[in-house]
Amino acid sequence: MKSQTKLFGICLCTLSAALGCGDPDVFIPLENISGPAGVIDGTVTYAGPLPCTENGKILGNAVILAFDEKLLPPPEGLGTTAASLDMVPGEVLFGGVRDKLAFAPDGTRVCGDPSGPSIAVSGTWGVGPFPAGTYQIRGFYDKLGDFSPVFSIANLPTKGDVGGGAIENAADVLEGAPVKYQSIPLGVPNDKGELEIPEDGFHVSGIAVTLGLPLPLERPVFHATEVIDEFGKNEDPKKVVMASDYQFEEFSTVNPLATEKSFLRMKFGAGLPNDKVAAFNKTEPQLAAAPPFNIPLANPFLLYSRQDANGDGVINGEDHVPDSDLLPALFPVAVFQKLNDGVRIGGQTSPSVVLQGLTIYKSLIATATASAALSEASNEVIVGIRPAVVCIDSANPTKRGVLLTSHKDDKLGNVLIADEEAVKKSLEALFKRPFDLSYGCLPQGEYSMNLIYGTGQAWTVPNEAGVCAANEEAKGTDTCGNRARLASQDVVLTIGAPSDAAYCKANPTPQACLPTPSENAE
Amino acid sequence: MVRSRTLRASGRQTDRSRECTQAPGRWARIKAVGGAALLAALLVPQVAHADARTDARRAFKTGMALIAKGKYDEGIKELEKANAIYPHPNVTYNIARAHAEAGNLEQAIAKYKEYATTEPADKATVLQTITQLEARVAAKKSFRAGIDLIQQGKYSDGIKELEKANTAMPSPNITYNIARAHAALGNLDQAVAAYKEYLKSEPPDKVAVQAVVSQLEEQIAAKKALAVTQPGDVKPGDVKPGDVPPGDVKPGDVKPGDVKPGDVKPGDVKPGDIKTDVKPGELKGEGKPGDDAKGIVGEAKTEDVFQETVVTASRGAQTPLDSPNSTAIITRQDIQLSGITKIPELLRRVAGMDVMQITGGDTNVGLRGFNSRLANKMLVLANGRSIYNDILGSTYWETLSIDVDQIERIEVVRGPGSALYGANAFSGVINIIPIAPGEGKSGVRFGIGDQLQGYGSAWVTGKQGDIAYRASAGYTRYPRWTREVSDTRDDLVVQDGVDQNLGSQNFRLDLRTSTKIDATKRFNVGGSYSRADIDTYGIGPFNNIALNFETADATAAFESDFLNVRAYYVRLNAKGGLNSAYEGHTLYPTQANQNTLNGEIEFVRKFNAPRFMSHDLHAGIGYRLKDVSWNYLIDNPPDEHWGSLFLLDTIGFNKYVSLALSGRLDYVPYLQRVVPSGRASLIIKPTEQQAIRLSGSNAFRTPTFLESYLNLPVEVALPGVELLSASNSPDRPGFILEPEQVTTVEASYLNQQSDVFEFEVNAYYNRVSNLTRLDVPRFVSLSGINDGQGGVNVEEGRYTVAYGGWLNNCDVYHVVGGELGARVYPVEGLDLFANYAINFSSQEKPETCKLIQDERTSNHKINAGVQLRTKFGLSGELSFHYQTSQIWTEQVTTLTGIEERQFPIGDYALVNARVGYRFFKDRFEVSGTVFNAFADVGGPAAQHHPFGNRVGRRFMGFLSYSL
Repeated sequence: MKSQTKLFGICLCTLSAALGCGDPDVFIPLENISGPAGVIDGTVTYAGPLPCTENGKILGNAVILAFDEKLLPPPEGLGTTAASLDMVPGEVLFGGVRDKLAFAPDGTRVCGDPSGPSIAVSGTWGVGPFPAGTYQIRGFYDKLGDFSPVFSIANLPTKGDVGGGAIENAADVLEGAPVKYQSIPLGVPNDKGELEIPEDGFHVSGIAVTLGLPLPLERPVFHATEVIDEFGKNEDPKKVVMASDYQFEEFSTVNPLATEKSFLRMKFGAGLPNDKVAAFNKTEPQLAAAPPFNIPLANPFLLYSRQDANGDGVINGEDHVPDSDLLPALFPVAVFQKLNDGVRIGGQTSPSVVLQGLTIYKSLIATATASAALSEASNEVIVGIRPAVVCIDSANPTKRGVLLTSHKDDKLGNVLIADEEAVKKSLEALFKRPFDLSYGCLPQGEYSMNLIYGTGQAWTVPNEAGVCAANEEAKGTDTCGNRARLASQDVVLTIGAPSDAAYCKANPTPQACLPTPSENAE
Repeated sequence: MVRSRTLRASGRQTDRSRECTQAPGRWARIKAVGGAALLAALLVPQVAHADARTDARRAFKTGMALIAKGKYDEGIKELEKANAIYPHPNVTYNIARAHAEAGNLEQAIAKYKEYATTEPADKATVLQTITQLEARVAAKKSFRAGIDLIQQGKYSDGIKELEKANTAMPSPNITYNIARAHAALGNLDQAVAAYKEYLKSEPPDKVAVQAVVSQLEEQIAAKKALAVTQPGDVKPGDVKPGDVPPGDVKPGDVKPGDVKPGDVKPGDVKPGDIKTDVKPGELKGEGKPGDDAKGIVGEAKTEDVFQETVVTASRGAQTPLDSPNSTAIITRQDIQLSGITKIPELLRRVAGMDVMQITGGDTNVGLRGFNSRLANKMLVLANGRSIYNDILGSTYWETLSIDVDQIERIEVVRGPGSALYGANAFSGVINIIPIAPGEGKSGVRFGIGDQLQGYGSAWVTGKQGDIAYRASAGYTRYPRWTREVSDTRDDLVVQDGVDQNLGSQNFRLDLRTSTKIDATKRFNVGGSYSRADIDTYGIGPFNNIALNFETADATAAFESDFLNVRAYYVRLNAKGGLNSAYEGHTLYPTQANQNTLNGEIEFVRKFNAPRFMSHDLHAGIGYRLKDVSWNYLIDNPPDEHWGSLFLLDTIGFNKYVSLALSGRLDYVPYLQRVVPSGRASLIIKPTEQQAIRLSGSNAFRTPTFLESYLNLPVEVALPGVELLSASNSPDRPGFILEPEQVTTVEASYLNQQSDVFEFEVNAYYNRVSNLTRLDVPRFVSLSGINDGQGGVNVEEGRYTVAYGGWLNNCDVYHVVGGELGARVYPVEGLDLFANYAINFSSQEKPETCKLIQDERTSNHKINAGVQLRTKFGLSGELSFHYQTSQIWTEQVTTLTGIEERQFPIGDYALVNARVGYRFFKDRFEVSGTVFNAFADVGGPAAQHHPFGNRVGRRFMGFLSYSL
């Protein structure tokens, strides 16, 4: 086709030289759909045990996730979705070694011995398009193929999956060092030093992703078991409400007991409650372990551990929460994220409004004294609910973030944030954007609850197990469509009406934390 | 490893479509310029010939009137003028007839023979006429020879020639002259007998001749008496054989002023003339001009052969005045004078037409609204043969096997046409009628233009005995108006081998033959092949697709007055995929094949029942086999066997009122049911050249193969995630898409009363329901997982997270609109046209329906133009188009799915012009065209669709030659 076209083109051009035969102008009608963008591609190398097989097929897929460094997933950031995703099916990745895999004649699942010999295979991937920015590539091999990007109950790796990514310090990681993901800039710096995608696009190729770190933990599946509200009226852990102008009775490092009491706290139990789902005559854990949920619930526990909060690779006294130098930052991280009104699944607001909980190991005093080597499995986790939210526009990394705290001080006049500049710097480092501090009423509405491990494994409530999708007809309280509804997985934290409306009038929620109108048109 | 890139400059324009809407003063300037240009054109000195058909029509009417008054010479001149402008056999016939009446028998015979070569229905009669006229010419020659011989005194030879003339063309005058010659020769008995024969014709000189007869009889009697009494006793002075009877005029006696045989001049006298002014004794000669032809030439053909004729709206030839639907015509002259080589762009001048160029090779056409990137609301025919693309329902104009040089006219029937043509004639029918085999002249045309535009076409036409043929071959190349992908783009992959500058190119061959079986029966056979590369746009998230098409057809048809049978096979093969995609994304490689076999039998009968009511009945059955395979569809989609029954009866109550009723039943395999459609048109003609039409009709568009059997995983912006776009997806098993429906009522008025102008007004109401659209993604739920939905698409390496597909709209559109069009022919050589279309729609929807109101149709559209043709060969056209803004609701891919957004595009205007000059006996013509002359006045060129190219300005020059 091209050669013919060229031949005729040459002839015509010769004849029409007087009229002009240059290229037509370039015009891109839909700049944000086909305009210049950044793309990344590379190889993925799996190094680990042989994959599982079942029914004559190789189970599992290599999942490649690209994250904007400004929107890294917890615990590093508040990103909730990857900027892009690719997948290499196990059938493709292991296609060259298929003859080395064992397939049960009856089709039952056969998995390689995790401690057996490793195998190394490679495939290719590509992700994009991206706006200008700096990105990280992470990934894992989804061993059983139970990953799904659609459902929050299945969109993260589980125990046995093999993690990895484009890692700078792969050799160190094998010796136990924390992972350092490669920063991949997309774009060229402009006069201000900001990255911009050039008119021809920006293509980074040859990024090597290595998957070789088997994940030892299941996701932190939880349910709300208790609410501790010393000064309020909350009693039902499934209906916790905090006033938007919530003010600590006392917030003082010198009085940790009073401070702890001042927190509205929730307890999250590991796994699911043994509540019976009447319509199915089974308990929630029984139902959850089976399709379509496949929630990993064998011997559920939640693991307390220390965070390397400053990312220096060493866990020490400097790894503390922003509120207090005395309180070490712990895993699992607790995050409450504001939902769009009336939408409990997939209803992330714009801007993102995130309330970071305070993970409490037994008590504030015990937390303060937790050792650097803390690694304790527990049936429950205590989370203090900070009356403060972070508001960032995840779609626009250039917009300033806001830390909104309901009051500047406690009821005794103790200032909550002693060093505002330090907090701002901390937030700016975390979210890769400038930050402002603000004091006023918190955005009212429902907030999802999340527990996050250092591996990035997390669990969110509410989730699909407890909430019927739009195309699933709710039949009573136990059924969504053709499957059970697990009520424990349909719980939210509510930021409710202020106890003092006048305060909120005088200190309203800043615009940066309120929903922005959706832009429908191009 | 990260490769660092430096910023490279390119010609990419970053202006957005909305900028078009932000230049309010721009079109005002264009309109002003366009208006000035039009005004200037109107003021051009009117030294020209006018619109060919109208000029011819006017000359024809004048000529026939002069002939009726006996002014043959002037009348013949007018008819010859008409025939020179727009040749027609009937005009030739009337010229022949006028010559005959004027006594110009040789010219008459020549014209009759010319007429007979057109194989008219009355050829046998005309051949008889020619025979008779030739006999008269021969007789005339004998008459003249006889007279000459008699004048020379060679009476015997003269009598023989006259008798020959009298045998061929009996005439009293000849008889008289024979009698006279006999008398001169002394054959008194023969002379008397001939005189008496002459007297039987009751001539004006009867008394004088009777006197001569008496004298001769006396002489005979005297001779007999003499012979009895005294044989041989004849004295000098007696009457002898050879004596001239007293009072007779001998040849030598003819005096100046008398009518003599020698006075007969060629062309003056014809054997058989009735003598009127001749005294007995003189030679008979001259009669009145035309007397020779009486009883031979037959009736004049007075029907208005230059009246425009349409065939599409009722499957038979009729004037637009009698058409049951409003029918617009783009004539060959429009095509030639416009210089436009894209067929759909020609359609723009039709009031109410929505024409949208998305790329240089992809133009979509709609009528009265609801145009789209894959326009599917118009049924397009090529000489009645459907060129409907069963896969997509659209028309890829640049894949057609004929070009504008092969087109006689294009008929656009407004309003639903399913009652005659079945499914998919939703808002109208476009019928491209090629020049018939054997018609016109052979020729060739070449054109080149900026940005590597190219046009070439060569055609031969002729007749061999009863077989007429027309063969053409051509090539066109249109560049993209603008290109989306620069050569230096680093983030994209492009389809291998695609020329990023190419809008379309087309190689084509077409051959049609027509064999005359007898005067009323023909057998037509033909076929075509074309190969085209096209930059086109799909629907939903599919933009900028590069396709290679191969199409072919084989057609056979039998035509007669009572039975029409047609069968044709069409093959379409397309391959290609997206023009470009981001690295890591799919180009959706595609391969589609379509084979269709069509058969149709139509019975035609005209009769009266009851006696005062005439019927023109067309009844038929049709069959269409569709065999399609396409990798975007389910594996092995079923072959579809379509069947249809149709009936059309045009009932004439009197010359003022007629009623056209038609109905059709179509069996639609996908729906597994019969879909009915109907039309009723009441036509009132207050005068012969005015018509008021009131009509009601409905039509439907059935799901295409794409809509019926789609099964395509569509990658969203995340390359590892897809939604399965399927007609029958796992989450919606058994889903059936209903056909789109339209019901129309229409009133129109057409006035062709004047020779200098005509105009038409239409008003319509459409109720449009069940429009087909792409559904929003239906995400897989946990219940869906329970049912086996979702999961991993191992072949593509993507997670199936949602389902898409088609859906009937939950809203109903009420559309009101109208068209007003006029064409004016103020003087010879000048043709003005202008039209205006208005279209407003309102949405009716239940509370649960969340669809955004569609505003993709311009509320107002205007066309205006002027055409000129001069006697010295200069010709041209200047045309202007303007349409108001639109808002398109389209689907785009997002990170996790597909969503609808609204995209406004501004109003825009087009000014096109062409100038041509014919020379060397009109065989050569050079011409130049400019399309969208003011494309970038006041801002960037406009887009016709928010996803499309910026449609800019193009120049093109042509050279043509005809044999």
